[in-house]
Amino acid sequence: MPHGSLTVVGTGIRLGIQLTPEARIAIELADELLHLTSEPVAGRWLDGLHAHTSNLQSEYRVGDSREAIYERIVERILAPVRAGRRVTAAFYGHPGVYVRPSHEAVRRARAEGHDARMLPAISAEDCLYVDLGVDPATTGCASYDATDFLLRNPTIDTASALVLWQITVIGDATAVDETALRTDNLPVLVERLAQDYPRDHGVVVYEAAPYPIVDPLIQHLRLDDLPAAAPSPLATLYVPPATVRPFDPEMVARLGFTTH
Amino acid sequence: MGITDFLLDLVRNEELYKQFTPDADARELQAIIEKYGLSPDDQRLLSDRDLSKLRVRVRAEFELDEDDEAAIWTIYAATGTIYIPPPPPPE
Repeated sequence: MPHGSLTVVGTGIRLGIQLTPEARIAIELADELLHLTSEPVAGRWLDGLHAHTSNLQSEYRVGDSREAIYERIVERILAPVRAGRRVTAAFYGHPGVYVRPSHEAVRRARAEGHDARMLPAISAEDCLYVDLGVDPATTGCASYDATDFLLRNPTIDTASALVLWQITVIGDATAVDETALRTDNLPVLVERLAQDYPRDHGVVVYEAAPYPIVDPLIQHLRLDDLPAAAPSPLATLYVPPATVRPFDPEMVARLGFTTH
Repeated sequence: MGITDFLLDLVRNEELYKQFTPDADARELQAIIEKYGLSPDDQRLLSDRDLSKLRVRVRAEFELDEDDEAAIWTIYAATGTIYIPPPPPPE
């Protein structure tokens, strides 16, 4: 089999201005650029960065299982790699955050003996921290896919921040369209969160801005108002800490800190 | 020229982008936007910096058919890491 290479990059969230220099170089050096973005204008921008581009969007068919979509994307990416070409695959946001096909393509390419790497990029979570003015180091921060969160039912630390992604497609394992968002399960999410947070706890529905010079969507509301909030399809839920975790006095002493 | 072309120019032309800082002079920005021949409605969309309205406008310029539009929304929903639990082990 010819020896090809794969570099997976992210475009960042904001069109055109969050591509890192190393990702841009990987695009320029590639024989072929495959890309997948959630904004048509971003696809057009990427088409302008390379002479040989291909849009992976066509692999999405409404109603297909996610597994089937992932498999088609992975195989589309690997086909030119197996033909000995240098391939760069660009995903919107961070290519390794909430993107399964990118990880699988790298894993499979390496297993087949090709060079494969993934480069870091700006994720939606990176944007959330700056747009909401929160630092995950202050209290700690847990981050889950909303459906996964409900299915696994992890212990919530209310002294830490909680970020829940994909809250508009809770419980949907297939590809959906905008008109088929699963916001009907938002009350289930609220019910679960209300086991640990007061129902009037302030939360934020957030969406990072995908275009330059526009503002992100930031909606402050009470937890129990979430089902009626009609979040945008790409919305994320940020739940600030509701409690304060005190220091462990034994550990404070053991590490040589002093308390005031 | 429409909003899409304006946005693409904005990210391809660093000098143009630099002019759209949050503290930029509103009249200067208006003059730049007018040069692109954008409609008054489109100019207002840019001035308002409203993501939801701008997205609708950009998508309209792409004249997406129903399947294209669905696929774009689907990309977001289907690239995620949703975990489908395996069936329970046999008794």
